[in-house]
Amino acid sequence: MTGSDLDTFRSGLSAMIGLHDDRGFEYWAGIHGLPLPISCVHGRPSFLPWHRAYLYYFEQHLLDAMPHGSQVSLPWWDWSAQAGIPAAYAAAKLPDGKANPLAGAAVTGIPDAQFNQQGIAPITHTSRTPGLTGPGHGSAGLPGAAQVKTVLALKDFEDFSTQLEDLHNQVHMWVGGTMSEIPIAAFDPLFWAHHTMIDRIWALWQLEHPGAGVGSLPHNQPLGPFPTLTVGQTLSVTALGYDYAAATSSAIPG
Amino acid sequence: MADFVSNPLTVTLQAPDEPYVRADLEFYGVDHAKASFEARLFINNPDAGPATATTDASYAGSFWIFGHGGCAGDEGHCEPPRQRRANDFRPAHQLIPVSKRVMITERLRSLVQPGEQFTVRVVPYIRPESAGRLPANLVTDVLQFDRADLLTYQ
Repeated sequence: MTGSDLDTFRSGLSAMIGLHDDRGFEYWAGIHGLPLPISCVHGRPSFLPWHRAYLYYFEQHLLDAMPHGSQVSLPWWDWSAQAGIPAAYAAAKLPDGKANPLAGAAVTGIPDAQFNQQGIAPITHTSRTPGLTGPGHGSAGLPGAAQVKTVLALKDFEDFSTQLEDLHNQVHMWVGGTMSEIPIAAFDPLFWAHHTMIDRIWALWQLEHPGAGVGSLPHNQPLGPFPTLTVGQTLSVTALGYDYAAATSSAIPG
Repeated sequence: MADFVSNPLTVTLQAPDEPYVRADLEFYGVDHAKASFEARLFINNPDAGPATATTDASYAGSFWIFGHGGCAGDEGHCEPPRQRRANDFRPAHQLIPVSKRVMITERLRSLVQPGEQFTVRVVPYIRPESAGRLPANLVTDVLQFDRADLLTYQ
């Protein structure tokens, strides 16, 4: 992502954060967890299709929030490079002194009663505590490229999906704080870059295993709360209007 | 803030006599209603606990639970139905237990002889800030599963 793309992405996200209706960040972050109902799918074969549909709807609203004609897509965080949280998401302030919208966000729109049901203190802003801190873990607790390669080699969809979801869980726990809790994880802007990486790995697996499909998952299974998408409609990223480059390079003439 | 480790559990399994190209430990009926945690697996190390490093020779791998984080609804909201009606076309309940699979092929080969019985000590590890923020009932007894199997492939 170029510097100007990043600026455009930040401005689009900021615009979404400023909307408090069903086009806004608060609404779409809340779809995953709180406020009720919690709609995300984990531990089941539709984990990948559901989250692809979720990213698709989020990105459509992000594009709506950008200047007309913007072509900036959700960026992925390649945590397998083991470099920790990307600088673009880590810096609290931008060079102009303004707050970096990728560093965190307010957690809003959740009734206190839903936090309080089990005595959990309400959260008002996202937080991160990166790096596993338990015995035997230093700062290298992110899944590595070898683990991704092992998962990509699995031939059966449900086997692949189960193992990829485990890497996904590991990253959520590595980031810690808001990202480690399902009810509020999607309020962290880093959530979207993490899930775009998961979606990218699925897309790479699809390229390596053409025809492998989605196992026993019915193609006509709807993916609520995304009324226009079924499992089958998530199987092609190009049909959804995007793709993942293996590598990128840009140059200025002259 | 101190690391917080909830209840470890131990299962006893048997390695196959025949050679294998892949070995998985599969856990069935794993609860995911509470805090997120890492479940670390240690082979033939019944004393493994919070102080046992993942660099220990008995460490075989981990699975990770992205926990539901407690119930935000009224009483009964997070209890899966005991039986699903045949004409219930709603999505499955969020808290139906899941299965987890950990590939342990090389670790099993190096630590367990063919045909030998062995134990797997499962030690759950919760991030300290979660343990500090969440109420005790969400960070206690987080590790619960119905059964563990060793699956090998030839």
